[in-house]
Amino acid sequence: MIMDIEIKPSVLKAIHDIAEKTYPYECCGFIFGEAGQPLRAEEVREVVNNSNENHKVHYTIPPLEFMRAERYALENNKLLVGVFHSHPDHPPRPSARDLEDALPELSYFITSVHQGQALDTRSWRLSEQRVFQEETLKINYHSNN
Amino acid sequence: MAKIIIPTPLRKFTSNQAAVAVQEGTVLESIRDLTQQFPDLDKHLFNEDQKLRGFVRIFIGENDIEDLEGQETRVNPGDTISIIPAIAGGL
Repeated sequence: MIMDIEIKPSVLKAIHDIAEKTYPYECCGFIFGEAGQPLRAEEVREVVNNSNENHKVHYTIPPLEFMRAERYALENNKLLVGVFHSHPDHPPRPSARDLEDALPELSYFITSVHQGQALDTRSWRLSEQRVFQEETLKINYHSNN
Repeated sequence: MAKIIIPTPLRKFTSNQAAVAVQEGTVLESIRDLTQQFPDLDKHLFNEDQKLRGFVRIFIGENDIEDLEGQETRVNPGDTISIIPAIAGGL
């Protein structure tokens, strides 16, 4: 099911800061929050890109980190909303490789970074037919942070 | 029987079961038994070439099967198999 996602400005800024400091390489990490409609993205946790390929074009979050993220969400009564990563000098749309390795039931935030500056973040989710569909990302400017 | 621990994002396809009893044999045979029980899981675990997708990492107990005999690793009665995703992608 395609969701609306409400995100705090501070969370979006955190993702952009990580994406910019990691440029020209791809960053990655987890997004935690609350279930509901809309989903709420409230916290991010950066993970070191563990890919054994060129980090400019590929990222990997190892299984141990996924286990930790699931445990963190469980122990802190949070939802593992999804993952984020960046596309250096490319648009924030899922690539064929993003699709090949995607999991259902998670949001995939992709941030485009152009010449070191984070420009745009979009969120995507796999459909039942394994096609990425864009989610509506709403910035909650009424949030205190 | 052995059992397979299902990661949270895939539990929607196992009727929200966190663990599923499967036939022992090889790892691949146990995973195939899982997808026969829950056919909607198949396309998320296997690609169009019927190979396990890149994100699918499998452990028996605490041992990565890549350090054992891969998908041909023997699964014994009582073993616990974990499917743990490695999140990956890129340009």
